[in-house]
Amino acid sequence: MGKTALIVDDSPTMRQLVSSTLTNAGFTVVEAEHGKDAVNKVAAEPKLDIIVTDLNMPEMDGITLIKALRKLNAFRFTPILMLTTESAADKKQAGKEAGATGWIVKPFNPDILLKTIAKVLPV
Amino acid sequence: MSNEFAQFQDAFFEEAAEHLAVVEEGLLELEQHPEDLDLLNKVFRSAHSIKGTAGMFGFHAVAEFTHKMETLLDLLRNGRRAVSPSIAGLLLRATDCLKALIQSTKSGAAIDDETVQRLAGELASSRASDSQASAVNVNRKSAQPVSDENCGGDQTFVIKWTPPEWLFQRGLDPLQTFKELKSIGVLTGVTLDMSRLPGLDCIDPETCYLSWTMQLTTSKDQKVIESVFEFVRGDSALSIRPIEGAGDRSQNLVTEAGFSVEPEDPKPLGQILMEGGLVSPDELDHALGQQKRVGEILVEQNVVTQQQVEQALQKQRQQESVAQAKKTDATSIRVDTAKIDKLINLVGELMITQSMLSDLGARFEMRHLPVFLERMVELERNTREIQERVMSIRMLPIGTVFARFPRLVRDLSTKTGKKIQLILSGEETELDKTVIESIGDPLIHLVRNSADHGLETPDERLDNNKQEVGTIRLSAFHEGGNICITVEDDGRGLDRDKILAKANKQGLISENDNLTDDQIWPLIFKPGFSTAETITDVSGRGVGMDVVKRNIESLGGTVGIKTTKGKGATFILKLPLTLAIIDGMTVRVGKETYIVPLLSILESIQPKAELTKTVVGKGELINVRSTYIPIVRLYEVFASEPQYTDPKEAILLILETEGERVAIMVDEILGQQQVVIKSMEQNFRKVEGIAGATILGDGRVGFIVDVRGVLEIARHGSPVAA
Repeated sequence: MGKTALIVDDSPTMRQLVSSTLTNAGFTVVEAEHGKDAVNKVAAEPKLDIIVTDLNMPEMDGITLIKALRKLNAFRFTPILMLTTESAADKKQAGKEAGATGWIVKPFNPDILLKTIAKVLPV
Repeated sequence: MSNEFAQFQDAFFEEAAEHLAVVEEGLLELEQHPEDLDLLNKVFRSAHSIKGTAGMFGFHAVAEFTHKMETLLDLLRNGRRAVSPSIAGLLLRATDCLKALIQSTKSGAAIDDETVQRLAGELASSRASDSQASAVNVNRKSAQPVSDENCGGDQTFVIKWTPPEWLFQRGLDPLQTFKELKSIGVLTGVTLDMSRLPGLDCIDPETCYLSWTMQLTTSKDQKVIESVFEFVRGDSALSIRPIEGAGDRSQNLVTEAGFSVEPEDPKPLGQILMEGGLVSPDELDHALGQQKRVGEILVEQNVVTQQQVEQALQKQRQQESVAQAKKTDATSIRVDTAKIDKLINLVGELMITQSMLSDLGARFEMRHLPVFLERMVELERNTREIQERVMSIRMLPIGTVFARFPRLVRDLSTKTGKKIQLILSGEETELDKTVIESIGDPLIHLVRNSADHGLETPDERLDNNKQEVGTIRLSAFHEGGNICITVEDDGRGLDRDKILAKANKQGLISENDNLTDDQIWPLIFKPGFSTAETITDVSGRGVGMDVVKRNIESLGGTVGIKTTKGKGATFILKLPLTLAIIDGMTVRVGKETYIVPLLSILESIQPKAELTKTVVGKGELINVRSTYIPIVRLYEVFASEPQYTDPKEAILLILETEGERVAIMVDEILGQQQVVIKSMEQNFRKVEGIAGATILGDGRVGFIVDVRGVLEIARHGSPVAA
C-alpha cells in the first residue's frame, strides 16, 4: 500500500490504538499530539495520504487544524477524518464546514476505522 | 469488548490516572478561580479523553459515568451554568468515584454501585433544566446497526445523486463512492448528468457540476447503501428507491443520524435462543434456575457444608481481585523521549570508545600506554554517564505524588475547621519510581499530622498574633546523592513537656533521664505514641508516626525533626534516589569483603580494652560515651576466618536503624563506593543478616550487610550460616 497517515490526538492511548491498526494495515504512521504539533509535522512530511484527527485538543483544536490544513496547497484535497464522540450535530457540522472529509464516532473498532478510511482514501 | 485493543489496556490506565490528576487539580483551582475558562477547557478535555478511550476498550461503566461529568463540564464551559462551590464539590466527589470505577475496572475489585448511581443521579440533576444535554449513552446500540444486514434476496434500488459543488474541497471524491457501491452489489445503468456543466471559459476545475442516476442490485439493506453516502448525504440531493415490491420505502435523505458501533461479545446460548423466539424469557429463567453450581452439588452430597462453600467463594473472590490487581499492576513506565535520545547518543559514544580500544589492543606496544590510559578514562566516563541515564529512566518527578495534596489539605481544612494553605515546591525533583510509589502514604500521614496536631484553630492563631491561615509547606530538593522531602508547618510545634509526660507514662523513659531535645523528638516515632488529646477522625487513630518512620527506613531513608515551640515543626525525610544502588562502606573480614550501607553508619572506633565487657544474657557490649551497645562479630555470624578476634585490634562500626544501635566487628575498612544491589532471594535464598549481594570491582561477590538483621542476631544469638 505504502500510504502515509497522520494521526492527531492528545491521548497517547488513542494514538497508539489508531497507529497500531493502521501500521498493521500497511500504513506508515506519523503521530502528533495536538493541532500545533500536527502543523509542524506536516511541514516536514508533505506527502500524507490521509489525516485522522481528534477534535478536543490543547494548543490547537481539531477544527482549527482542519481549517489550517485546507489552506495549505498540499492538503487541499487530502482526506481528513475527525474523531468524534459527540453525535451532536454542531461539532460534526463545524468540522464539515472547516473542510473535514468525514468522521469516525468513538468508540470504534479497528474494522470500522479501516472501513471508514477505505471510504475516503483513493486506492 | 474489542479484544484487538486489549494489549493497550495498561497504557489506558496510566493515561487515565494522569487525566484524573488533571481533572482533580483543575477542579481545585477552579474553586479559587471560577472564571478561568482555559482551566475549564483543560478539565473538560481530560474528562473527554477518559471517556473516549474507555469506550474504545469497552469499559462502558467508566465511559458512561465520565460522560455525565463531561456533560456538566460542558455546560460550565459554555457558561450555561456557573462554577459554584457546590458544583465543584460535586465534581470532585464524582472524580473520586470515577477513580474507584477505573480502579475496579483495572483490578476487578468490587465497586460500591450505590455511590456510583447516586453520583450519576446528582450529576444529571445538577444540569440546568434548559440544557439540551442529550445524554447519549456511549454504548448505545445504534437503532439500526450498520452491519451487513441482508434483507433476504436481492433487490434493485434506483439511486439519484447530486453531490454538493464543493465536494472536492473536503477531500471527497465521487469515484470512491462508486467503488464502495460496487463492493456491495452490482452497479448498472449509470448515467451521468452534465447539464450543470458551464462553458470551458468559466469552468472551475475544483467544483463538482455533475450528478448521476444509477441502479444497484444488492442483497444488502437500504441502510447499508445510505451509509455509503454517509459523509455527503447531508449536503447532497440524494434519493434511494427500491424498484420492486418493498412498498413505499422511498425517502429523501436529508437528515443525519450519528451512530455508534459496538463490538459485541458472543451472546450466551440462552439469549440467542430467546432472541430467536424459541424460548420465552420465563422459560429461560426457569431453565437457568435448574442449573446447579459445583458448590450446591457438593453440599447436597454432604461433602462440604454450606458455610464452607460460602467461605471458599469468598476466598475465590478475594483471590480473583488480588490476582487481577497483581496482573494489571503497572509495570510499564513512560519515558521522556529526550531521555531515550540522550541514552542512544551515549551508547553511540560507548561504541566509539570500544572500537578505539579494540583497535589499540590489536596493535598494542608499550609506547601506546598513555593513549590507552586516556581511552580508559573515556570508557569510565561513558559507563558512568550511561549508568546515570539508565537510572534516570526510572525517575519520575515527585510532583506526581504532591499532586494529591491540594485535595487532601482542602478536605482536612473542612474537617478540622482550620484555615490552611498548602505551598508546594520542588515538584520537578526526580526520584526512582519505586520510591515514588512507596512515599505517598508516609507523606499523607505527615501532612495529616501537621494539619491535625501542628496547626491551631484560626482563633488560637489570632490570639497568638499569627496569621489566621496556617501554612503547610511541602518541598523536595536534592542533597548530595539523596533527596530531601520536608513537611513544614507554622503551627504549635512539638510540645516537649507533653511528650516527656507521655513517654514517662508509657515507661519509655524514666523520671531522672536527662534528655536533650534531639533525643526527645524521636520519641514520637515510638509505636502507640500519640499526644492528640482526643482521638480525631483525621489522625491519631493508634497508627502513628512509627509507621511513617518504618516505611521511610524500609526505603533506606531517615526521618529528622526540627521544631520550635509556638513557631512550628519540620519533618525532614532523607531518601536514596534509587533502591537499586546504595552508598556503601566496604569492609574486610578475613578474606571476605562486606558492604555496610553508609546511611546506617554512625561512627567507627577502635575500642580500648576496658570499654568492652560481656554481660550474662546480653552478650558482648561496648561502652560508647556511657551507652552500652551490643557487639556482633561478623565472622561469627558468617562463619569466616577473621584476621583479628580481639576487639581492640579490630574495628567496630556503630550502626543505627530505627533508633536502635549495634556495633559490628570487622578487620579493616577498605573504602566507600556505590554498589548495585543484586537480590539474594532471587539468585540464591534468603540469608539472615544479609540484605543482598553485589559484584565487586575485582569480579568477586560482596555481601551487603542487613543492619536490621544484624540487630536481631545481636538480640537472639547468631544463627551461624552453614
